[in-house]
Amino acid sequence: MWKYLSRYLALGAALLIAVSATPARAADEPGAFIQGLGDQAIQILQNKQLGQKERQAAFNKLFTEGFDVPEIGKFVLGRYWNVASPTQQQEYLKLFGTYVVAVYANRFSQYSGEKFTVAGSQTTPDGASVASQIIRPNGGPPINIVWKISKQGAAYKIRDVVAENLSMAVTQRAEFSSVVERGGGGAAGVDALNNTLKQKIAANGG
Amino acid sequence: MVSRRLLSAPTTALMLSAMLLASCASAPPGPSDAADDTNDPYESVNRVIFDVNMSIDKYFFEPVAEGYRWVLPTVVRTGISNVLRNLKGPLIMANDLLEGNPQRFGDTFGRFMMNTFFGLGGLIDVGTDAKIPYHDADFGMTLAVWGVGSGPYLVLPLLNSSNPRDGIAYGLESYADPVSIELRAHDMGEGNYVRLGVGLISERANHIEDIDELKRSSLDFYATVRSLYWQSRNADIEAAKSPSNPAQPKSVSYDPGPAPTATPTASQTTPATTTADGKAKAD
Repeated sequence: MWKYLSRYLALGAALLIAVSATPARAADEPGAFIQGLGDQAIQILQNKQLGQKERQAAFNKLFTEGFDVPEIGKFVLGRYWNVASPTQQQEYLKLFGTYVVAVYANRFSQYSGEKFTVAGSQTTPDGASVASQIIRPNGGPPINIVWKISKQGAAYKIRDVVAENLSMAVTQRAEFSSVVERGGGGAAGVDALNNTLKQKIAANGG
Repeated sequence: MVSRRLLSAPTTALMLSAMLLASCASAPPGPSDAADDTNDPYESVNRVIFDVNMSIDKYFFEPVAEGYRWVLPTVVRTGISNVLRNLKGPLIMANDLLEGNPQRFGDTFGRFMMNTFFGLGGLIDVGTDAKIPYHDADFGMTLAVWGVGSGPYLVLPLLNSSNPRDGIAYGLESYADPVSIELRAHDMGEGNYVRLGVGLISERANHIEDIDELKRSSLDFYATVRSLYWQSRNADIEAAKSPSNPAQPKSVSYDPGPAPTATPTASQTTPATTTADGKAKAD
C-alpha cells in the first residue's frame, strides 16, 4: 500500500531536478520556464556559502516566483476559502507559502542524482502542461511528472505538479479540508487549520 | 489446520468487507459527499483502524523493515522483490484476460516467461530490461472495469486502504491465485503466508524514508493517505480500461467553488527530449 506514497514524494525531487536538463527548444517556452526554475534551485543547493536561514529565504523567493501560491492556496482551501474572513485568508496564504517552502526545502535535501527529461508540452486553455520524466539512479521505473502552468501576461506560474497521476493540489486540498472539518468547520475550522500549519512549519524547520 | 488459522488476514478482510457491503446496501452514501472525493462515510471507524495499523507499523513492521534492510544487501532485497513480483504474474495475466486486455496480457506473459526462464526463476527482472514495463492488475480492478462501483473507503486491519469491492476481491483472489493453488496442491500452503509476510516487509522496507517524510509534512496523515489511495487506484483502473492510452492526470479547476474539469486542448506538442546528469547533491 505504500507505493503510491513514494510516487507522490517524487514531486519534491521533480522541482529540484528540473535543474539538470539541457536547455529546451526555444519555442518550448513552458519547458524552458520549468528548467529555469530548476537551474535556480540547484544554484541555491550548491551554494555552500548560504546558511540555513538564507537558503530558506532563497527557496522562499523561488517558490513565490515560480508557483502561483495565492491561487494554489485558494484551490487547496476549497470551499472554505469563502467561509474564511479576509484576515484569516491573509494569514492562511502567508502560512501556506511558508509551509510549502519548509516541506519542499526538506525534500530537496534528499535529492540523489536522478536524471530529468522534459518530454514536451501542450497548450491548455489557461496555459500549458509540461510532461517530464525522472529516471532514478537505482534503476527503478521512471516517474512521470506533469507540470500544470498558467500564463499570466508574459509570465508563467506553476499551478500544480502531478506525479504519476497524483496531484499535489488535489492531495493538499483533501488534507486541508479534513483539518478544517475536524476543527469544527467554518471560521473555527479555518483557525484550526492555520494553527496546524504553524505547528507543521515549526516541525519542518521553517 | 495450520493453514486455516494462517488464512486469517484475507479472511478477516473478506468478512469485514462483506459486513460493510451489507450495511452500505441499506445506507448508500448520499450524493452530498461529492463535494469532497473522500467517499468516507465510516471515517470515525476507519480512523480507529488506521491508528491501530499505524501502531502495529511503528512497533512491528517498521523495526522489522529496518532490520531487513540492515541485514540484507541491496542486491538480495532487489532479488526478493523481483521474485515476489514475478510470482504475481499468473494472477495478473488472469486479470488482464478478464479485463479484455490482450495487449497487457501479452506484456505480463512475456515478462513472466523471460523472468522465470532467463531471470533465474524471477530473481532478475529481465522483462523490464527488455522494455516490457510491469503493470499491476488485481480482481478489484477487473470488477471496476466490469462496472462494479467501489463502495465507500475502508481501512482494513493490516491491509490499510481499501473498499468493499477491492476487499472482497482480495479475499477471493487469495484463494484463486494460481500460484497459491499450486502451493496448496503440493501441501505447501504455508508458503503463501511466507510470501504474504515477506511481501509486506519488503514493501515496507522500500519506503522507510518516504513514509517518515510524509508523516512529518502532512497536516492530517490519514487524509493524505486516503486521497493518494483514491487518486492512485482510479488512475490504475483508468489504465486498465484503456491500456493503449495511459491515464492522463485529471485536469484540475482552480475555482474555490465546485466547477467542471476542463479538457486541455492539445494544440502544440514539442517532442524535444533532453537528458543530462543531475550532479546536484545537498551537502
